[in-house]
Amino acid sequence: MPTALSDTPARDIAAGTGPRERPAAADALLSLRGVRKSYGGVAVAVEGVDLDLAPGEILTLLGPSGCGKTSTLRIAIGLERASDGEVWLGGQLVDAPARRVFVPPERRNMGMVFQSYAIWPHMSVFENVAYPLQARRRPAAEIKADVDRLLDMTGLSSFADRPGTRLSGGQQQRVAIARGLAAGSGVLLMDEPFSNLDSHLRNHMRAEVKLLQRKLGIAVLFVTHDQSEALALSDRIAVMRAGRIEQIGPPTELYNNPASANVRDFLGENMRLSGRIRARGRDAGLTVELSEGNICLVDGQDHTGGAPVGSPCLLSIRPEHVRVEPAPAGPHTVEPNVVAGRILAMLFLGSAFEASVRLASGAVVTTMLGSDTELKEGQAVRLVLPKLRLHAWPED
Amino acid sequence: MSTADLAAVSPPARVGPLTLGAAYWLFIAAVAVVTLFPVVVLFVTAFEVGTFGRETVFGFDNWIEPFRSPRLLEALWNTLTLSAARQIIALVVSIGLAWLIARSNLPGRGWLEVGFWIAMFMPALPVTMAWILLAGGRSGLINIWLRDLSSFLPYPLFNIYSWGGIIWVHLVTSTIPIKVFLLIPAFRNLDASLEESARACGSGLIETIRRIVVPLMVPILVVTTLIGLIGAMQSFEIELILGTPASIDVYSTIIYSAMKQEPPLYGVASVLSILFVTAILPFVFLQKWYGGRHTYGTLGGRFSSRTQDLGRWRWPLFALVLLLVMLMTVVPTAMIITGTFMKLFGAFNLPQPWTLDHWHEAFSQSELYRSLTNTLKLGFGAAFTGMIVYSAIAYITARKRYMGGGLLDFLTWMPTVIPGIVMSMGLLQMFLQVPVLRPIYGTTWALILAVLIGGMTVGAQIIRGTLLQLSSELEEASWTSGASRWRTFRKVLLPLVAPSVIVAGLNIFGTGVSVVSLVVLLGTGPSQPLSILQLAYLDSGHFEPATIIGLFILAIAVTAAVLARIVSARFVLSR
Repeated sequence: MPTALSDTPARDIAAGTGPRERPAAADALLSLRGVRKSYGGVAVAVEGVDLDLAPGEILTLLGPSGCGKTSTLRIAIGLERASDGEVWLGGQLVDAPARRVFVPPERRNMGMVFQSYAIWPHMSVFENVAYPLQARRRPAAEIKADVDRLLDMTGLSSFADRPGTRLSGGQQQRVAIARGLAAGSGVLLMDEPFSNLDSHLRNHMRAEVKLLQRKLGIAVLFVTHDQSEALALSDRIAVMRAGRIEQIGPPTELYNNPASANVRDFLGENMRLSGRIRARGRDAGLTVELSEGNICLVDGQDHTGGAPVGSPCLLSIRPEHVRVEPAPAGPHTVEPNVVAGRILAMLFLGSAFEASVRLASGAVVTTMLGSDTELKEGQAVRLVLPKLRLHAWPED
Repeated sequence: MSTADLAAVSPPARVGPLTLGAAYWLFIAAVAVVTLFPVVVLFVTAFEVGTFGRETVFGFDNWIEPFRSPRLLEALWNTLTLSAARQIIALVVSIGLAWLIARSNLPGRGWLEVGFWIAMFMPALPVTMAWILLAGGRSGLINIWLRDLSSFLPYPLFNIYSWGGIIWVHLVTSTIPIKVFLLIPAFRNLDASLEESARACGSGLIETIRRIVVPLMVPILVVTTLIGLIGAMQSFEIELILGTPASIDVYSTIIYSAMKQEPPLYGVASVLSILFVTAILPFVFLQKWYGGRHTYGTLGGRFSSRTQDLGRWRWPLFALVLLLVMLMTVVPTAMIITGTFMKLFGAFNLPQPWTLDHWHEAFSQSELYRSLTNTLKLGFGAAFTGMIVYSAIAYITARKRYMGGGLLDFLTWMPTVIPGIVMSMGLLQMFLQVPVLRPIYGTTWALILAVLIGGMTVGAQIIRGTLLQLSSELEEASWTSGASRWRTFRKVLLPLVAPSVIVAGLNIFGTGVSVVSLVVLLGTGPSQPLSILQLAYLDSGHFEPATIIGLFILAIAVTAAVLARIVSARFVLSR
């Protein structure tokens, strides 16, 4: 293996005798350690990111625009240089400004799918996909076989001779993926690849990419600002904000146990109710008095950090966990974990209804109803909030 | 595709090799020197008193001399009025022409557009000679016909050696074709539904153009007019030929006459040049300021580009536009061909006006062959080096990732600000006063350098426009595919920009063939190209050989125009 790495004697790194520690995860294909990126020393895009991409996983960087997710991806493949920190690729240091090491993107052997697809208009579909193999000077027969296989895999066989530009958006997307697979052996980086597709095609491509990834067992580092895309596609999600990773973990964990209000609000919908802590249980659990006057027992996560009794707090619950029942006839009874309200509007989404409910306090919350519900607009309802699904947060 | 392959990260190349960085800054420095040095030299020369070539002292004498003569103010006034008048006329006419070609169902509009394109490449001097034949006072062909037709009309009706004549020749050789060429894309990008809704509201066609189309286009109209005005004030050869007999001086011809005196008044010419540039600068700043504040008034995104029906005006308008295109292209060409067979240039009333003698004579002289060789050397040399240099400039200024791009962008605009005759003057001083460059003086390389500098703004912009349309992700995708920078350049970038590089090359070739003002002070002696030889004949009254040379220049320039058109129509990426 050729190992001469720029100014640093490569043996040091290979033998692990360099000044810094080896990447934490030994089997990680791609590791970022304390990566920072600033432009002209002023604007900071990435503020210390640690990341490990394991073999065979889809890891998504999720966050609003400007959170540093695309910069992180571009540093990973070498289109930009880190200002500080280290990038390891398969146990080899590829970017470390402190050690004056930088391996350019064309030597990192990773595939990348760009947001604009970047299909070369002067080449046919075949030539586009064959390009990475030609750049590596592989024999022509081998290239032909590999490209045919990739085109077959992405369903492009019948378009092989088409010019790259005479394709629909979805087809261009496939060409970009096939080309990325040809370039990268084992790792594919995708930068908002579906943002230029319409919603129907986007859902379709999402499933297709996951199927392809499962079949090939490659690792994918994916960047998106679309939370539903991230939830559906990823094995792990890293939610980024202001250049940092706020929480990293499997989608279900992030969805059910968000570590911060930002992650909670960014992933999925929430019903939020404000109140005041009335009592604190011995081991766990809070008793909260809502602004409506109702009492709620909270046995989910407590993020209030032991705030004293009497301090204001916020309760959150996922809409699908709220049980909506018709209000019982007869006199109004006060029960714990039940809030009264009236349905303002129902939106039919096909598989379910989304209902806007006005609470006694005047606050409007969103809940989900089954598509077979008998409830009607204008009807009085009661919302049952299971205590295990209620999470307590400090007031925003 | 096993994950094990990942370990085989290829050996890295050295990061940011010092030599490449040095070459980059050297390139920017070289561009800075050749664009800025002539200006610096002008300032130095302006303060050198004494006969050129002898001992000189520094002083202000040069600054007093030109102000003594009333010619200066008169020339300034002429420059301004001539420029403004033809800009206003051209603006009105070109709006109509561009709209007809871009937005209406005018028959043959595609071919008419090609006609204007060729007209833009028509060299000024040969066309000027054609108009001398047609309207040169008593011997002008049109005037003779009109006299035969009716005795009531004043004779001669048209005199090309006049204020109006200068404007007319300018309009047909450059002002109108350039404006049409610049405005057509802007009109094409205009949303047709804006026109349609106006017409649905009951407004007529002319009314719609006047009240909807033109106001929307104000920003681009202002910018093209200002650019045109800057260019117009720099014009030289038409004024020299047509203005001198009518004693109409403009700034550039005064500078030229100061240079051509014996001994040449370099100091005075430098002072005049500095004053001239100072007079132009406000317009340049105005253009930059205005252009920066207003985006080109086209509404992008989804738009319909349906054409407007001209109704019964369709064919009359076609005839009118066709006549104009003919007057710009076919008529001058026919007149020049005619002129080469005339015993005495413009003397149609001789009993036996035709002869082949001039052709025999021209071919028997070595001067024609030598100048033709020089012109071709100049054209190809400038085109070849220009393609490389302009591509580099365009790439650096279009891709924001390089330092110094802003500076380079500024430098490429310098030659537009500085009039050709002034640049020629500054370059002459540079060649004479910088010992390293002295060997270049008197060779074709000096002319190539002048043409390269003069064509820099347009040439770099042509390539830059294409580069800006190309997403940088196209290159990045190649790098991440494992291709080296060199392979990326060869396989991805070059094929995509090649057509516009060729168009830029042909454009600079056309300039090199027909250019006068930029090289007039440099192209003497053995390096003299056709255009300067023609000017020399014209200046000394030898019109007959000048027409033959003009025909050569015309043929070469039009060939370049047609080739450029074919390349850009077939290969340049359209959005």
